[in-house]
Amino acid sequence: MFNEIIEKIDQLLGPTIIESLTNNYTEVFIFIILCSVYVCSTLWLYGDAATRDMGTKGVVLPLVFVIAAALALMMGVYAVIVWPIGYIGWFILRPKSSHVITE
Amino acid sequence: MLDILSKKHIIAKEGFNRWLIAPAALGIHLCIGSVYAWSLFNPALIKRLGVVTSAADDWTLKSVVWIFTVAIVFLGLSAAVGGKWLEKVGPRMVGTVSAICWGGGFVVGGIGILSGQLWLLYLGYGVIGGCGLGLGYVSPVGTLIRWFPDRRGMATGIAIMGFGGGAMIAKFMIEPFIKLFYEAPKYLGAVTDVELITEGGRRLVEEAGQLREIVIVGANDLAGMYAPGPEGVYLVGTGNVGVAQAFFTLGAIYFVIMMCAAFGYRVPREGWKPEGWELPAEDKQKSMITQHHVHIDEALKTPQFYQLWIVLCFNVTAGIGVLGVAKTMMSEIFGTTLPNIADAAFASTYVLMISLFNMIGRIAWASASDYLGRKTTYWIFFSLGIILYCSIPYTAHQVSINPSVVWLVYFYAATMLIFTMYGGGFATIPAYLADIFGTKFVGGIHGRLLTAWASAGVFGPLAITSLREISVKNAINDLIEKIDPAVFQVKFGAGIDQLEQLVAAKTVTINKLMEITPSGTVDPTSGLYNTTMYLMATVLFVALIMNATMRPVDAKHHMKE
Repeated sequence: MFNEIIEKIDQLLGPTIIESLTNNYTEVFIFIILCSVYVCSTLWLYGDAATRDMGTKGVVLPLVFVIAAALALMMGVYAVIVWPIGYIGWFILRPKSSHVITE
Repeated sequence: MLDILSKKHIIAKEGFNRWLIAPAALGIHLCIGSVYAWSLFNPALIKRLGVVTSAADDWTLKSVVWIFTVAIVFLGLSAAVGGKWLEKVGPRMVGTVSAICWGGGFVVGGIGILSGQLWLLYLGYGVIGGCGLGLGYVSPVGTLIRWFPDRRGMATGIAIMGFGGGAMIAKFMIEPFIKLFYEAPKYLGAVTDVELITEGGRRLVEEAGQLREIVIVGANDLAGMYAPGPEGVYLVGTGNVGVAQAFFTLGAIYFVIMMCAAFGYRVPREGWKPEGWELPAEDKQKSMITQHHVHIDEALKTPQFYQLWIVLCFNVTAGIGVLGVAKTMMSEIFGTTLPNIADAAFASTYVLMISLFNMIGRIAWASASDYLGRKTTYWIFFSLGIILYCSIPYTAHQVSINPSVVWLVYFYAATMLIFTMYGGGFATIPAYLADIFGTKFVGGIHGRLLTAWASAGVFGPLAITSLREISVKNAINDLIEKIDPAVFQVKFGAGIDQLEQLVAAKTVTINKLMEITPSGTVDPTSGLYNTTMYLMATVLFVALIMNATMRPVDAKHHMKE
């Protein structure tokens, strides 16, 4: 049962990142750049949540992004669809003000 | 009890010698640096049951090599999360937890090996050990920078040099420990003397009325045995490869050393500065060194953090790019063109020199950055790196058409210089962070920046593997166009239409195709790494731009008094 569910998810998520990378040098370069943008944007989100006093709740979305990246590597690249969706959601739902940090 | 680990408990007394921090930091980094020696465990791990050679149920190499990547990913994640905690609780607490995780990770991993549970090995060494790596890596950085505000680069260079040298020391411990605990399996005799049964692909013998699995050691397997033994049939499950016990012993040793080192940590009291040293006046101060502090969370909202992230990540990616192929290039290109010089012993020395230059680069470049400035140091890394990376394909091509020792010397020197810059990039980044974000949260910010290393540790090898496959595929396709299909059919027993399956089964390789190509065909092996080198030069160019556009942090991000 468990294996069947995993298999279904695997099929749903399409080819893995490694399977997608077979064409040329430019594609690999774009892959490195996109991975960097992905990680940096996740870190930015983590920092933005921290300066808006989100506490533990602020870790949830960056953690979802990390899990999506792991899924994209191991199961299928469509997992990273949560990235743009998460960002749109974040900009709509985040607390409006950030705090001032004092020494 | 936990109070003795707290930050307030380790504030140094008046007259404390700041140089005593360096060996403590070095001790922790030497222990965790042994992660680079992971590959030394692989041959033993894949012979857990068979001991002398792999048995049917032994783990495959493919299943164990990823443990290193998992450890590096958890290094980055734990450093990112633990960085802020470090600023709160101080280096001794973090160093202690790191010792527990790194030593404990070995123990959990050892239990996994003993019980045959691969997931426990991943959990122990990869996850728990990886967290120990991350916490241990960041634990001394901020403290060292606060003790050595006058020589930030040199101070962090000393610690991070340890990480580079850890693998060299581990090499002299891992193999001897495995050999110490090694027990040869029961020898049943030569293949001709034993009645063998094959069932379900396994080789078995009947012993005391029971069918028991065996492994056969041939002439080619003798070199891979930890203790010399005769060729022939060995009973599976009767010996001990010794790797689990080596894990337990190493875990205990690392735990003790790291605990001693963690208890050696002291932090300077607020406002302390070295005797006779004054913070440079604002007008005389180099514009890239700030007197302000940026909070750890606020740092993530500055463009400078991401510029430095790219600088570190792409420097590591480029380093991994050449590290991953340098030894193969040495043996495949120079080993075939200059076989009298670039033999197996030469290749082994070359690998040792890689570690040595990586280590030297860490202390040398980081110390030099105190005089050159951080921005200039990275400018040298990237501009010189681009030239060196682009020149390697030319060198490989030249040696394939004109075998001359000059090209070997050039290749050797160029790659060693690259490895010093790879190590130097790691060691100089904490000082760069301190210059840009101030010293107050530098340890934590550095921890978060280490996600760049974890990322490079994942997509660097992926990119290299992918590029290599693309190059091999293209080279085979080019060679096929020059080969008579009838000759191909005779050589491989199948037509060119089945090329894909033949390549997948490794029946068709470049070397085998070269045997049937028309004379005068240039061997494409030397060009297999060209795209890797050009890609690495391109990523270095992006890093160069990021470094060149580095500016001081906007005042709005500074902490307010």
